[in-house]
Amino acid sequence: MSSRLELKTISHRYSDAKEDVLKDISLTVEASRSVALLGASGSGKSTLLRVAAGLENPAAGKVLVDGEDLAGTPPDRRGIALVFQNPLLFPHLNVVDNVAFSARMAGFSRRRARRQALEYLDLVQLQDFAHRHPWQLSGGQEQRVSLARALARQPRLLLLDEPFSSLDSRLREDMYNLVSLIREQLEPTIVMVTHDRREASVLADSIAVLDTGRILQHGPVPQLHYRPDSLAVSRILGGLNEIPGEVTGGIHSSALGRIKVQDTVDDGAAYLVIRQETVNLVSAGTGVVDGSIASIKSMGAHTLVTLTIDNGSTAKPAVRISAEVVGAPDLSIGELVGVDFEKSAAWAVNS
Amino acid sequence: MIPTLQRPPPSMRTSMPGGAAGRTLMGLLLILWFTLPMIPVALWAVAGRWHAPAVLPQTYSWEGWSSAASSGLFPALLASALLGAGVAILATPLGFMAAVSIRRLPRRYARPVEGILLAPLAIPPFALVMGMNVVLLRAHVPAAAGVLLLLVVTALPYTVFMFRSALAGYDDRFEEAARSLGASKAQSIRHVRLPLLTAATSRAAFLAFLVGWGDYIVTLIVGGGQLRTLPMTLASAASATGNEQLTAVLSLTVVLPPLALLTALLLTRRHGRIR
Amino acid sequence: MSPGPATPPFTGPATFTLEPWTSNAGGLARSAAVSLYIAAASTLLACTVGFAAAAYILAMPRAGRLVAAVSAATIPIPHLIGAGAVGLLLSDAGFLARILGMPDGGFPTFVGGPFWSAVIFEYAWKESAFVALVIVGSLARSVGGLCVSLYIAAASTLLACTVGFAAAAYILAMPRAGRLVAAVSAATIPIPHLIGAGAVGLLLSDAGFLARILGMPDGGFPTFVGGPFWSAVIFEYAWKESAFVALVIVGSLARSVGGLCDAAATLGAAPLQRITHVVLPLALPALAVSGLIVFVYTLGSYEVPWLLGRISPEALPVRAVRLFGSIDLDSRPQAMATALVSVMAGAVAIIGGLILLRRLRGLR
Ligand SMILES: Nc1ncnc2c1ncn2[C@@H]1O[C@H](COP(=O)(O)OP(=O)(O)O)[C@@H](O)[C@H]1O
Ligand SMILES: [Mg+2]
Repeated sequence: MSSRLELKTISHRYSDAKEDVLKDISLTVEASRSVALLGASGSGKSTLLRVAAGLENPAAGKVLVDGEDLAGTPPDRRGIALVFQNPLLFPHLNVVDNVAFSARMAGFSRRRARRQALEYLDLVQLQDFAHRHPWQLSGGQEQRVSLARALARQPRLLLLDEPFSSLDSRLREDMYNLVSLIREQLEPTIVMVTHDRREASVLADSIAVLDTGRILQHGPVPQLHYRPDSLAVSRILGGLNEIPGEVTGGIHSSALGRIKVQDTVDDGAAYLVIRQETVNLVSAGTGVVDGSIASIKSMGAHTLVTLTIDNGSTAKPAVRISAEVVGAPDLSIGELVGVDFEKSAAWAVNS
Repeated sequence: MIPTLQRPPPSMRTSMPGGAAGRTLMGLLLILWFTLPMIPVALWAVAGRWHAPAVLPQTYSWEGWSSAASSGLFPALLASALLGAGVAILATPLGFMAAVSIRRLPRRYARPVEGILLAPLAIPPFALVMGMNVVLLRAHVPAAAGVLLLLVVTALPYTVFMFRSALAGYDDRFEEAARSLGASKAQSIRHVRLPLLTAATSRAAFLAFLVGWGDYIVTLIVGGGQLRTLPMTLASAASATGNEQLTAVLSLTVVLPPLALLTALLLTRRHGRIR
Repeated sequence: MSPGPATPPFTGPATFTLEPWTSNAGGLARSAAVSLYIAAASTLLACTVGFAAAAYILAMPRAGRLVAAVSAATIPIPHLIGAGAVGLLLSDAGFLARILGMPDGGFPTFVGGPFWSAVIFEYAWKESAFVALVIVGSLARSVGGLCVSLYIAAASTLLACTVGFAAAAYILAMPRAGRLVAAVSAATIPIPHLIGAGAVGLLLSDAGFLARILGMPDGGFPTFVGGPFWSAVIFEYAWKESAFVALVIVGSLARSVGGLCDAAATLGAAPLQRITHVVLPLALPALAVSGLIVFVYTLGSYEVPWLLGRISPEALPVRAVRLFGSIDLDSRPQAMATALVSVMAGAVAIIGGLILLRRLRGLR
């Protein structure tokens, strides 16, 4: 059921647009793996999925599935299922017939198609809703039917285009569990689009960051968070700390002092990126550096504390560093505290 | 009823079966289907001599136009235009008022009222006219006024329908939103209500105009031959043989003005959207 | 003299009592119910049989005349004679029992039986002839026209819906060429049917444009205008109304169909399957509504069959208008009757169409 997808140097432009929506995109997804495409709205994520599904013909580049070039293969013969952002259930069919649609198209009898459809409805726990009409379902149920319908196609490849973005957070958690269950049971190859980095982290083995039609970085979830290739990737993944400085011989010097960073970074101006989640607040003088608290923002169970580092140099705008700490710490604005983080994992990106 | 030239979604384009050749053929056939009957009309309008076996006219001339002019084209044009304009002027505001009052009425009364207003659509126009003709004669209503009255009744379903659907899509909260954004009552009417209803108004007026402009049966029965409109002139030309040029010329004079009006309507609407 | 029940009738002071009503209320009610039952059952049966007979008389020119004669012959028979005859036919040892070979026992008791069957049969038998002749009398004049009009309306609607759906699918599916088709179909909408009929006349008549293009101006060209199949009339209606159907469908689908076709494609539906399994079912309500409008309109439209049709049999509207304009004073009521038939046919079509539509909505 699962296949390997390769996108090779894909470019695409809509007929009435001035600029390419996709620029020279290459991406490989191994069989049974799950990749999340993460990017701002309008960055071309949906377009990339539509190209993979065959709904748009790319201006340049190839779509390969298991090494076979799909150029000229129409969408209905690609064996690639796409779940859209809105469920797009057929309003003239009831739930079970929606799920049975692909089997009917393949020429199976109505009875057989329905029997198979019921199994997939079982998978998404909607067998009791088989004879409802689409308009009698809630948003989450519709999206589950849409997922079951795509799975019933038994696709080589499952493409999900922000399928859960219209659901409330509890339903979304249910859907995450459902996708995990489906991954366990059917092991499909999945490419999913999202603009929610948490969703990407939960559902995918690796994340590809898309920005204005280019893939900035593709790698495993921790790599994207802790070892981004560029400032842009760090920002898209929600990183807040960018400490300006200079790298010479693998040592980054900045307001935080001299910190050993990875060897691969080039000498010259570079930013130290530190995830706010890994920054700890300690009593003044015991951390890497001291700072005075500039703002305290509650994020629910966590609190985001932003500090200004003052080490005498007043020439540049003051360096700020943020820490996401558990609970609501007993701190006040202006208080001096120490900042601590794992120096051995320090990561710098060239600017 | 009124043509809407929406942009089709591009994603259905792969759904037309038959390959590129089949699709092209189908497109050509459809265009041919919709234009075919008007081709001989266009040719006859400028034909001079065009005898039977010849596929195209042997000579071209404006003969048809001059003979039409001499057989009362201009008075007929004027009569038709006046009739169309009269129907539009009466049926549009009536339709608007009816639509608004249907909207205001409690649902229990609104449905039957709407049903009555739409009923002329369900009754064959000739039957309606034959029934009313007796009444109009008894009441000594002048023929022209009778024609106008009946055509307004015929046009009302269209204008009511246009305003009904426009008002259905019109949400009072638009004006409320405008008020909450600081617009005065007058400003909210001027800048929100009117722009949102002009499209429907022009469509309704256009349809009502068409009812008067192209009518034949009402003018024939109630007008009793006194009202020589374009369709009346055309009908007498078309029902006799050997009048091809005249028929064609009269057909074009009936068809072209509304088409020009429609194009103008569409163009101004597009302008409005971009602005 | 003591007052009391023994007082002879019609003498002495008048007294009022409900006794005649109450003393035998059960029997009174039962008789009333029986009479009502007999009347209702007989009427129902008479109307059913009468309508069937009328339809047969109208539909079958020869055998129908025989049926008409027989049914007319039953009209002057008095009910008393009818009752006697039915008694002979249906009694326990009657004619029917003898034919069926069960004179004793087995034969159900029709005469004097619990369901008043023989009585109902007698009424239904005599009154069905009356019903049939009334229906035939009022329809005979218009029925030819009605058939022609129904045929024209049905054929035009079918053709307009077919071409209109094809055009709508094309407009929705082809972004560029579709716009051109949409424009030409939109342009045909404001053309009055009278002009369309004139144009079709120029196109399809014996020496018309098509005959010239095909190179058969004399003889070979089939008679479309005024021909036996009303082809020119149907063509004109189909031409103009297909544009209407197409634009109604495009208007109702334009927003939703793209995404659904995409979804269908990724679910393995080939192009033709997308049209038949997605676009067609989605278009069905709009198709049905516009089809109903086209049917009712073509049923009652005058200009086109007048210009392009045959003289005999006449379409209903043509007949009505001709009679209405005739100098013969007798023809006015006939014209009105024809118009009424036309209105009723339209009403039946609308009611039937609406029921069908509701069914269609229920299915979805
Ligand atoms: N059918 C279309 N025609 C023209 N431009 C489009 C079309 N669809 C999307 N675009 C444009 O392409 C860009 C990328 O769109 P999309 O792939 O939908 O982004 P995303 O899914 O990442 O939000 C956007 O700028 C959008 O405006
Ligand atoms: Mg998108």
